[in-house]
Amino acid sequence: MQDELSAILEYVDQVQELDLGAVVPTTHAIPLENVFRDDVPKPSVPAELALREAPEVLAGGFAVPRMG
Amino acid sequence: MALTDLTAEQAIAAIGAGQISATDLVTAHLARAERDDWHSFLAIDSEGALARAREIDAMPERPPLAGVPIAIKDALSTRDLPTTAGSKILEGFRPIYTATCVARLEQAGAVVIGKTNMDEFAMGSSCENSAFGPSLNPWDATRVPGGSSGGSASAVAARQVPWSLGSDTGGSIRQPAALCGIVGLKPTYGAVSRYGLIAFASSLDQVGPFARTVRDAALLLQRMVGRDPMDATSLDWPEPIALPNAERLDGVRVGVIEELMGEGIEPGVRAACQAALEHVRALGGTLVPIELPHAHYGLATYYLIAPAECSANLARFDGIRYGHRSADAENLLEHYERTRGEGFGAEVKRRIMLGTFALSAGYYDAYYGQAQRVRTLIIEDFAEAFRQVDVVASPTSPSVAFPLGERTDDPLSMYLSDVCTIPVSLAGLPSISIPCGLSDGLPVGLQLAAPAFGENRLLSVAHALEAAIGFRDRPAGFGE
Repeated sequence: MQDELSAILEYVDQVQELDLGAVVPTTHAIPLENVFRDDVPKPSVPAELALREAPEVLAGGFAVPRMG
Repeated sequence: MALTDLTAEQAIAAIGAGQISATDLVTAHLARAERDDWHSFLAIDSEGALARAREIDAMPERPPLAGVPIAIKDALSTRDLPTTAGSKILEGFRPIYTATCVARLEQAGAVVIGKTNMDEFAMGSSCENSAFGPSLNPWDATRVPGGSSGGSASAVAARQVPWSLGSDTGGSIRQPAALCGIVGLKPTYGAVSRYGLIAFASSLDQVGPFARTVRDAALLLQRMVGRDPMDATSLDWPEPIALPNAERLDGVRVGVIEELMGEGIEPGVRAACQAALEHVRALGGTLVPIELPHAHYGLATYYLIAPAECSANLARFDGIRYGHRSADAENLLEHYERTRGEGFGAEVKRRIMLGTFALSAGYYDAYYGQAQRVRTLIIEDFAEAFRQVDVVASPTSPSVAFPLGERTDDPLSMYLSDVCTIPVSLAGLPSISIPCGLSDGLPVGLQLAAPAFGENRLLSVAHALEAAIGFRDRPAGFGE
């Protein structure tokens, strides 16, 4: 894995050879303004359904191992 | 003609004329899907599909897609139907909702018969990164179908369904379409809602159709495009997708991407593409050589941007709300490490690490930031090209379908499979691969790309060329 990652990094390093000081970076290929919607309450996923796929459920919630 | 040889368009007409029922059609395709010699499928829903087909047959007025069966890439969520994205970490997972694009097709009368195999989380170009074993190429079962949407491509080529859905981040629809001798379309970034698509690289991911004709691909796209309140990146679509009819290309200027017709492209692939492009002239269009001076930075740019985005997107697989959970972890950190260590395959781990590195303090500007700037140059290259031409053309894949195992030990050689498709992806452009001939008995794909929102023009050119090329070959043992 280590060798593979090194080879990939060596390859992607070629982006460094361009002098791109003035070029604006692209975050989104198709220009898009912020998208807003009205903040209207509406029904959400029922708790039982939201928990359906959880590997472990505890007292109506997702069970999480202790922190430390 | 066997029911499984019908195009979707023919099937819809035959159902409309009362010659066949949706139930007949679904039954015939299910039989081929269940005897899955190519391992196209990860899940098949025979019962649900047949029930839906009967329901459609009983309707006084049939919906537009009339009960034609479809297969869905396993990266798209389907309510109650197993959805794994080709990963052990999601084995057994059943989504609680259906992706918008799938729901729209079901609403229009398509019948989902199953979920198709793929490279884990769409990371790969051969389907060999599937945690459940690769799909096989119907043209030669010792070769890969391409990827990442390998099962969606093999299912259509093997006539297990007339059409299917895939997702394309750097070529994952177009490249397998090329390797399997079928049509694959990646729409403009944002054309199709991604609500319910398991995210890989969010600035690139797009859903699109596989089919055996350009018109069938258009039929599916027609029903999927347009804004979805559940995906803020989905776009209002300016005009309906039309079914292409064009026979001529009078006045159409096709730009041939010089950088993608030379070194690194197999001679047989180049020859097939050149021969196909000669039809442009015969149909009244012109061929214009064009240059994309930064195209050769595309691959490096992509392999910084896509891993960076995936490293963030895949953080959600934590073994708490769904999916695999490692047993008996002592604490939360150990739980994360073991769950993700056990659940993810090698390529996914490689990309998460690469992406995390590219985003880390001290390297961000040199890698991710720099890649985003190169991306701007590639977008400008295409914009310049489209001042001279209407569409651009190149091979879809530098090679025909390669043998299983050939590139699995060398990630970089696998990445090179997408060298022709990645620049188009970075620019967010609509692009299609159509079969254009054979090289050593294996199909070759021609890639066409248009400016953003240019789907109708793209489909029209692809349709005219498809007819002129007249690709009729089939995998051995597939009739005619």
